[in-house]
Amino acid sequence: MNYYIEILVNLLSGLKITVIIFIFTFAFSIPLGLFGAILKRSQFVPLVKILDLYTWVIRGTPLLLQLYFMVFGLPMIFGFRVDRMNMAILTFIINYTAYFIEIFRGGMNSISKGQFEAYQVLGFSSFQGYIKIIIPQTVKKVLPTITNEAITLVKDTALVASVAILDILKITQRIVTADIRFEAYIVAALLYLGLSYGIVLVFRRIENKYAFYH
Amino acid sequence: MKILTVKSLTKTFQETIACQDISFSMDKGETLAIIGPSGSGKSTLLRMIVDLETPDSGEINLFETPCFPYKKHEKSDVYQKVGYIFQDYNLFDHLNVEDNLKIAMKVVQKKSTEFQETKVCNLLSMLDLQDKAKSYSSELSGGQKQRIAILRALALEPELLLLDEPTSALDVESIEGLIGVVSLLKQQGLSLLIVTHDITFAKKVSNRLLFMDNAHMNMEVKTDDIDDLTDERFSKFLKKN
Repeated sequence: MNYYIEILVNLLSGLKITVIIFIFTFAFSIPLGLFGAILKRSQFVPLVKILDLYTWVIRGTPLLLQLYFMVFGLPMIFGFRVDRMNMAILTFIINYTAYFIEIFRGGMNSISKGQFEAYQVLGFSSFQGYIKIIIPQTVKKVLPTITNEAITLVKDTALVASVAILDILKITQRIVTADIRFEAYIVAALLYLGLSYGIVLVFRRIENKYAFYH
Repeated sequence: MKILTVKSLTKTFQETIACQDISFSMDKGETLAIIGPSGSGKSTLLRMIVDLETPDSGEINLFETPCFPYKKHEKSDVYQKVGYIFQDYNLFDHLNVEDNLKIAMKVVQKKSTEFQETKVCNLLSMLDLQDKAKSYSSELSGGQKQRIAILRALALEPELLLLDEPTSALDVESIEGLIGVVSLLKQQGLSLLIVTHDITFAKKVSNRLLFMDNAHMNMEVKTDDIDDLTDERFSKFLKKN
């Protein structure tokens, strides 16, 4: 039992890294995704094409490759040193924003044309219409998908172990290698499960909050 | 004062002509019904008047102000005086009745909370819907949704109200209720432009009727003279409805 507690204490600093990446990624990629989705629905063709290219490239290449490119590739191109953690967070934001753009765009497309026309004839500007009418309805529609993405994100954070950032997985690997014992894997799995469960609970509450209308 | 003037309005969707060379005008305080079969272009005409569709050519003047064609900086305030009731009402699903009525006052007109509260209270009691203040669209019947949609438009104090096929989704009882609401609005001095294929309803509420068929405005009729008409297409339409 003491050995498990010892592992847990060692993994706490890794947990902190995982949580930081999760929070920053979510805090930035959700609003950026919403904004990108609105721009992608606009009539301004060059901007729509650029966003198409962005989502195509990001969703079509592995997150791990993007992470290697940002942490190791960019310094080679520009010849400067980067903070690996900052670059990792930036990579996650860029990656998840691309997915959220498509999720929100899908949600907005499923809202009836009548809702857009109704705010138009009442004299709302497009900005007012999106903020007051379209975004609240979109969020309700895409909540289950966002919950899935949040759980995927928790697990994706483990990829930073491959660029030598000391997250839960990297510390686990070190403990296993040093002690030649498997228990750290179990503790790490329980930590990830705990995080995912917490996310499910939070999102269930949000979904319940939105359940007031159909 | 001409509250609405439409001149030679034309609109085409790809190969289909929705409205062809439509001209008519409306006086302040008048209730005008545009009748005609489905697909005759009535709703498109209404949608062009409220700027939901752009005409290919022609002119629209609201309150003697040019609305089409317009210069960008001129486009504006006159639409605030026009209310539009959609065929399927389009209440905001995520807001309750009270908030549906308040939202445009708050966001567009920037009215105080106190003003909004009083206005909503007056509007709901006007149509005896106080008990529905906290209900959501999904909890209302078709007739109730329509009355709320009318109140939502009235909240902005329009001078002209446009109704698109108001009877199409209503049962007989709700249509009777709607006739009552329209009479109330007429008493309050509102000008009403109603698009409908329901000739009985149109006869009951309007002073003048315009008959549209196959994208053309074919005939203008005074409501009292309607039964004496001999026009072939109009008689055919009357028989069907």
